[in-house]
Amino acid sequence: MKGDELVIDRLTKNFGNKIAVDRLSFSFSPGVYALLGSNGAGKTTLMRLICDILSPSSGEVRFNGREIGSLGENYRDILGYLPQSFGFYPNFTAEKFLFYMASLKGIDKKTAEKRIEELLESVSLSDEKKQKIKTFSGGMKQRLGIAQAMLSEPRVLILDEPTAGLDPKERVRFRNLLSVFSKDRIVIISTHIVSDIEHIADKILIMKNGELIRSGTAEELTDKIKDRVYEISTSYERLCEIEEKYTVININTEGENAVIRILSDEKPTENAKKCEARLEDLYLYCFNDSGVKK
Amino acid sequence: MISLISDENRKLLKNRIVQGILLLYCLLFIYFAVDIIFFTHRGYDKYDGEFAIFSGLEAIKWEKEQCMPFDGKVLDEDFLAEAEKRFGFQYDVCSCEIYSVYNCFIDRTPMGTVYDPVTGTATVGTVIEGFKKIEDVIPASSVPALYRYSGGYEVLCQKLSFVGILSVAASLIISALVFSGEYTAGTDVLLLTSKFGRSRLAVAKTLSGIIICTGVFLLFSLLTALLCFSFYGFSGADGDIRLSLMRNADEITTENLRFFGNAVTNAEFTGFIILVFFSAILIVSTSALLISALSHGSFSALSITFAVFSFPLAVRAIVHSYEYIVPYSATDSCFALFPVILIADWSKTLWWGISYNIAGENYPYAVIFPLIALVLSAVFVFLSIFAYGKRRLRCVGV
Repeated sequence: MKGDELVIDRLTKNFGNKIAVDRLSFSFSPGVYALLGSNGAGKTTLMRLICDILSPSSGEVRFNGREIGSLGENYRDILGYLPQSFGFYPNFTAEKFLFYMASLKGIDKKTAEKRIEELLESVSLSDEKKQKIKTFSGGMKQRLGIAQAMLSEPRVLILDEPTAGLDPKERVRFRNLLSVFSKDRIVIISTHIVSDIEHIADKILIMKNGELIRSGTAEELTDKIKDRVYEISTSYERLCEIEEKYTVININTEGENAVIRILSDEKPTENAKKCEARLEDLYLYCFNDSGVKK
Repeated sequence: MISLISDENRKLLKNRIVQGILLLYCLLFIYFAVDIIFFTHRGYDKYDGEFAIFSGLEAIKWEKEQCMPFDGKVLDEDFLAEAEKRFGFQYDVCSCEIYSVYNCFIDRTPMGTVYDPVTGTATVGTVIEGFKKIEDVIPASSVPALYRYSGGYEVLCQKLSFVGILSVAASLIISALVFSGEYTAGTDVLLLTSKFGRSRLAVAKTLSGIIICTGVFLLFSLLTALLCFSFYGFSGADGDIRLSLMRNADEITTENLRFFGNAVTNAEFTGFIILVFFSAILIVSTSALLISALSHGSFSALSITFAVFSFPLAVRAIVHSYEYIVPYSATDSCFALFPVILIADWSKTLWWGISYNIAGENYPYAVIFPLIALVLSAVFVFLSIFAYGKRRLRCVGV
C-alpha cells in the first residue's frame, strides 16, 4: 500500500515584518519527524500551518497531492494535534473531556468508549479518569493532551512539545507509545529536548529563524560534526578560559578536575580526546553563535 | 450537528459563571414561592367599602388602600353618572370598565402626581390622597357592577417581568462567554483542529448560546406560571387587562382611554410579556455572540458587551425624563420597546410602558418588535458565524 504524503511547498508565513516561516519546503512520508529549533525558530508556526489553523502568506501544504484547505473536513479527519500551549475545561473529568473531543472528531460513542479506555491506560490516567481536570498536575494535563491528539488514530499526528512537563518515566512511556503508534503514519514532533527524539525520530529537521537549515537522520546529521566533539580533562581554574573559547556542551567533575565536552573545529589541546558526536552536540553546534565557527 | 450542539450545551452548562446564573434563577424562584405562599397569597381577605360592596365575596387586598376585587358590585350612582358623562361608558356592556373610570381620578405618574380630571390640574400627592378625593366626590352607589378575578395573572405577570429582566441580563453574560470563553481558556486551538470546520462549530456554538439563553427563560417562566396557577387557579384568562390587572390598569390614564378599542385579555397579555422578553433575549444574545466571536477573551467580550448595552441606558435616562414633560409619543414608545433598555431599566414605568403600548395605540409595535428582533438576530447570527469562521489564531511562540 502506498503511504500518505504530506508536502510543504515554499511555505512562508509573515507576521507583519517578522518572517516566522521562510520559504520552507519538505516532503513527509510515514515515519517520525522531529523538528528541532530554539525558541522563535518557527516550529509552532510551521505546525499550525500544517494543521490549517494559520493560513500561509505564500506557498502551500498538500496532503496526497491536494492542498489541505481544499480538503477541509477530510483533512482534519485524519489529523491529530497536540498544541504547545492550550487549555482544558477545568470542570470536565478526563473521561468526559475525551468523550467531548471524540465527539468533535466525529467518532461514534461505542468506538470512542473503547479508544478512550485504551488511551487512558496508555497515558497512565485510568485511575484518574473520573477526576476533574482542574485537579490535575501539569504533567497529567500534558498526558491528557497527548491522548486527545491520538484519539481518532490520525494518519498525520502533530505534537508540539509533547514531553514538556513529563517526568523521565512518563517520557520513556510516551516514546514507547509513539513508536508503536507511528507505524504507517506521519508523526511530526517539535521539541527542545533532544534526547526525546534521538531514539525515535526517523528524520530530524532543524529550523533556525524560520528556515530549514538541516535535515536528515540522526546519523547523517551528527556525521557532519563527528570530528568536532572533544573531551578535555582540566582544572577548574582553566574552565573559564575554555568556556570563552569553545562551546561547552557538558561539564563533569572527576576528582579535582573538570571533564569538559566541547565543540571545536580543531583539536583544542594535546590531551583532548575525540568523542562520538551526539544529536545534542549538533543542536549546540547549530544554535550557538559563539565559540565554534560554522 | 445535533450532537455538536448538545455537546456545546453541556459544556456551557458546566461553566461556573453559567452555573452561578442558574443558581440566581433558582433563588429567584424560591423567592417567588415564598412571596406567594407567605405574602401575596395570604393577601386574600374579605373586603367591603363605601365605594363598592362585595356582598360576602372575597377580594384580594393588594395594599391597604387598594384592593383587587372580584365578583363585587359598585354601588356608587354618582360615580357612575359622572363617569358616563365624561367618558361615555356603557356600564351594562362591561362592568369592569368601572375600575378604569375609578382609576381616572388618580392618574398617577411614577412620581406620585395626582391628576384631577375635573379641574385638569396635577398635584404632587399620594395614592391615598387620590382615593380620598374619590371618596369625597362620590357617595355610595346602588348600581351593581361585576369585577373580574385575575389574581393569578396579576401575580404571574409581575413575576414574569423579573424572570424576563434577569434572563435578558443573563443572556448577555452567557452569550458573551460562548466564543470568548474558549479563547480565554486556550481551548480554541483544540476546537479549530477538530473534524468540523470553523463555520459548523460557529453554528453549533451560536445555536447553543441561543438555546441556553431562551431555554432557561422559558423553563423558569413555565415554572413560575405553574407556581402561580397552582395557588391562584387558571380563572381570569379572558379578563381584560385594562381592568382586571390593577397595576396595568394604572397605566391606562384619561389620556389613553381613547385607545380602549384594543382589548387584550390576561392570557394574551401574559403571552405578550413572554414574547417581548423572548425577542429581547434573542436579540441581546445574538448581538453578544457577535461581540464574543470578535473578541480575544472573556474579559474584553464582557466589557464591550456591557459598554454597548449600557449606552442606551444613558439615552433612555434622558428620554425618560423627557416623558414627564411631553405626552408619550409613538417614537418614544418604540424606543421603550427596544430590548437593550429592558436590561437596565428596572423602573416599573418602562415595564408598564410596554404593557401600555400593547394595550394602547402602539399595539402593533408589540407584534412588530418580535419580527424586528428576529430579523436582527438572524443578521447577528450570520455575522457571528462569519466572524468566527474567518478567524485565524494568533500565533504563539513566534
